[in-house]
Amino acid sequence: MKQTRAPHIAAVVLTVLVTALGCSSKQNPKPPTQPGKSGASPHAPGAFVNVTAHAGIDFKLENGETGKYSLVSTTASGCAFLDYNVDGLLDILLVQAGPTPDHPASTPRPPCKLYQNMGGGTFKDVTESSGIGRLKQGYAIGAAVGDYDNDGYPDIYLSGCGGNHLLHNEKNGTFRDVTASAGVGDTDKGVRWATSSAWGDYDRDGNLDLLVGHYVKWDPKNEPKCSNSAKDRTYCSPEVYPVNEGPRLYHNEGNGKFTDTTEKMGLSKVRGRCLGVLWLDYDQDGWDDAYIACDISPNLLLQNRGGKRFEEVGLMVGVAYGADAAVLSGMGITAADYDQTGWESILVTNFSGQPNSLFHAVGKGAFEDKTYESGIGFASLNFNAFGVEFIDYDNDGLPDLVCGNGHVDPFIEKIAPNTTYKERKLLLRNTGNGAFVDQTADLGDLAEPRVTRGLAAGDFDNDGGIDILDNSQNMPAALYRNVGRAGRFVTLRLEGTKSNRDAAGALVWVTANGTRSLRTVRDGSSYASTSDRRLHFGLGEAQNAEAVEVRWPSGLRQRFTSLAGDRFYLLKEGSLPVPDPLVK
Amino acid sequence: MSCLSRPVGRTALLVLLAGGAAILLVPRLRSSPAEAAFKRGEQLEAIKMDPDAKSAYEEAIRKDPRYAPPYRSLALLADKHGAPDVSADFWRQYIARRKTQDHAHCFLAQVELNAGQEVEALRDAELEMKSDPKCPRANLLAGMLYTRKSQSKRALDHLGVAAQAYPDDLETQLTFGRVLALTGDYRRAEEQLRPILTKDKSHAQPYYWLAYVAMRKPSTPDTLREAEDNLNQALDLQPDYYEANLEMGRLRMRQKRHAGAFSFAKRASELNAHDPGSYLLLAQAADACGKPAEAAASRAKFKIERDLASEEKSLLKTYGLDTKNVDVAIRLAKAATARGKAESALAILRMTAQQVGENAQLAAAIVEAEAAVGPAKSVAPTR
Repeated sequence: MKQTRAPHIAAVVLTVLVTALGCSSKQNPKPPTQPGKSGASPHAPGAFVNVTAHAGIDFKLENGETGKYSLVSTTASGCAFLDYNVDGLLDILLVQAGPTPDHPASTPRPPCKLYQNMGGGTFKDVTESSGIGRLKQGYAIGAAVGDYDNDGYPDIYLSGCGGNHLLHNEKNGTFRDVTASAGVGDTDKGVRWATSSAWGDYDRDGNLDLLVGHYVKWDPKNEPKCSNSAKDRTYCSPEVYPVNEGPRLYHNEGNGKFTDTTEKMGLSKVRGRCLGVLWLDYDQDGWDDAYIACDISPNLLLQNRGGKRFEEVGLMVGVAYGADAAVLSGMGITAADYDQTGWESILVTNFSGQPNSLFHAVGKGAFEDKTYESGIGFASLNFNAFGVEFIDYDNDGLPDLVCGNGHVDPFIEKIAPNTTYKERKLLLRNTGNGAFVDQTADLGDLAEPRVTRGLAAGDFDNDGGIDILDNSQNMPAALYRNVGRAGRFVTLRLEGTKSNRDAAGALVWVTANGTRSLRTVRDGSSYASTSDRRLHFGLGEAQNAEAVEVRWPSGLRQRFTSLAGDRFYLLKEGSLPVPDPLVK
Repeated sequence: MSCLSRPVGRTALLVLLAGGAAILLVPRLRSSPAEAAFKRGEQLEAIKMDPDAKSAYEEAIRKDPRYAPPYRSLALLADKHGAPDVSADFWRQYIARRKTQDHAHCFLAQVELNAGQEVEALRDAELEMKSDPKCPRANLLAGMLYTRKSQSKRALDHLGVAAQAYPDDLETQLTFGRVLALTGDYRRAEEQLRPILTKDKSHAQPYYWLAYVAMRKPSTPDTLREAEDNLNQALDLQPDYYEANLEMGRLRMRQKRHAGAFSFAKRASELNAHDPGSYLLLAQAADACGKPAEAAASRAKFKIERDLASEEKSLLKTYGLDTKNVDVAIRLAKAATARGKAESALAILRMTAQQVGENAQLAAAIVEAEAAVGPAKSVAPTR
């Protein structure tokens, strides 16, 4: 079924036209560009400015901790960048947890919040008008955004402890809870603790399927009582809870209903304390595989065997364990072709005392651990990391890393050196020789100590710089605007026709400055979060992207040349690139 | 008051008071009836007649059970003869009777540590530091014990004090450097480890830990060279050094010298059959060397050992929540035995048995563990 379309004369002509008409990055009035202008405490000048107050975002994630140290409260909650009203401006979803599930159902629970991007760096709280405010979402942890019914409007899947929710985008600014009719409530096997989930089309039928990660079997009535080594009451280690959970796979039947295919696809015996979920075609065989970061159990790589079944191959290909053969405390995941080999490497964030793991793709589905060699191990060892994304924050063409940190033990400072409960973010700049350096000078307001869980990346103001959204425990959420981009960029919005409309799973290689770099379209990554699904490529000094190659989930391959820099494009499956009509 | 105003009355009162004081104080000033026996014990010990010395000390205790010195001597004697738990008992009895602060908690902590009583050892080291916060030995013991408990912040605090107090003690200096390395404070670890080698180049461990640090810093030609030089030194001094062999194997993999990686991984797996690390490296090296069968076999061994190690760690955490849980204790003992730690298994089972009393399952498990340990080691020391 794979097709390849070579560029022809008409395409070249049209491409030139596109180049001439390409969207300008000049946008609405800009929000603050200096640290401290937003009401947040000022930090050193850098690439990121906290613009939360200016943006009008006033959300505080409550993890529900009341001195009982329910383990579930360590895992809340994620966030998402999504364009729910399809106006070309990224809106914001902040997931709320609230009272832990051991409270009676009648206990008032604050809602998840949806903020509509009004342009000019400001947002409007549309939680009530969108219907999100009326949702009985329970103890929500994760948000995966994907257009499961291919109607052009993104839908939301909220995962959590005690039941998940599928919210259908009604295309009129509201969402409707269709969980029951879709069959994705995740309550049929008792109370389960779902963490991250992600959309992906594993059988390439054009409909987005859903992979849901579960953490441990947990009964709030039998929560063990634990102390840390300083004898302070705190959370129990996950090891106290047996590894008797695993992922769940829902197949999208295309009629609004989903079927549980966990067993059929060979996943019923796969076990792990799943925290981060990511779809990626690690072997580039055209079938989306799934990688799951697990906490104190081996990370799972589920190889997709032609859409017929999955096989767990994590140990075999070298991504299950850490550099020292240790079982990792995996939490967040992201993947990128950071060294321009044309293959995506995997980054897993880990608990403090374990460095974040970099599994470097050596091609053809093989990986080698480059945690220490890359400098990531050195920089990250003492941070407790959850949300993470590869972002080219300076648009030099090299994906950098941003890691959201924050410990789970409020008393950690007593027992661990160089570790704090609230932690700054790590901004690891890609130096281009396979190494990353802790770029503290560019942190700006990302230096604020926080207890980050969810982290999403996206260009909310369409200025070509990747911004950061942060959902931290018992703190106001934060939006950080990137004011430090230097190089040019192209941003590509893919739209499937035969493939799923989100084009989730599409691989795009962009050649600029003589190097070729891969990105994948994803609906769910990081920790319990969804980032901007548009693909952002830094071009450095280059005026143009010399070539763009797309491999669509359907198998169709397309190639375009010479896309002008500092522009936003729409790539529709089977068509030529056009300026993104949504970006004004 | 009127009688005290007369000289005769005052004199009579003074006589009475002096008499009373004499009645009260004389027995205390008088030497203990045990003292002679104790002194004889000291003399016998000085001429290395330890069994006779022990008898003399015991006689001293029989004569005056409140007299402290013989308990101290018996504690030291028991420790000298490899009976740390007996020694610990005598130290505790001595502490209950002693009249001066003399770092006895420090000695007690040391023998408790030797007897495997880590909780008690840490408690006594902490007690020692209450009276003398800078007590070097107590800090050293606390540092080592907090290291074992993975409380690295406290470990570093105490080891820092001990390292200053014992600049020439290799173990102290090395432990401090090792904990700094493990907690990612690579600069201080190097500062701590390098001076050890300027004084004494005959030990492999400082070289290994310097290599460990170099391997975990971002790779540059300099760090790789430093790692290689130090590992070579460590292995020259101690060819059977498991960790050094493993790390050298990892270095060879990083250098793409796969045959070398394979050899070192193989050697490491022979040196420590239960550590999963060498098997994973061996599998990776075998893959790189085009030995798929060996890679598969090593991966299978890795999986077995890795799962066992994880199970043991997980059960240990669960056991920590309830040390009377017989089921968990038995499962933990089985996991420990399977990992070649039969003595630990036996200790866990015995500790549980002490807490729960008669239990047929436990008794059977103890018999099994004793068989695994072997007769010589499984017999509990007598007091």
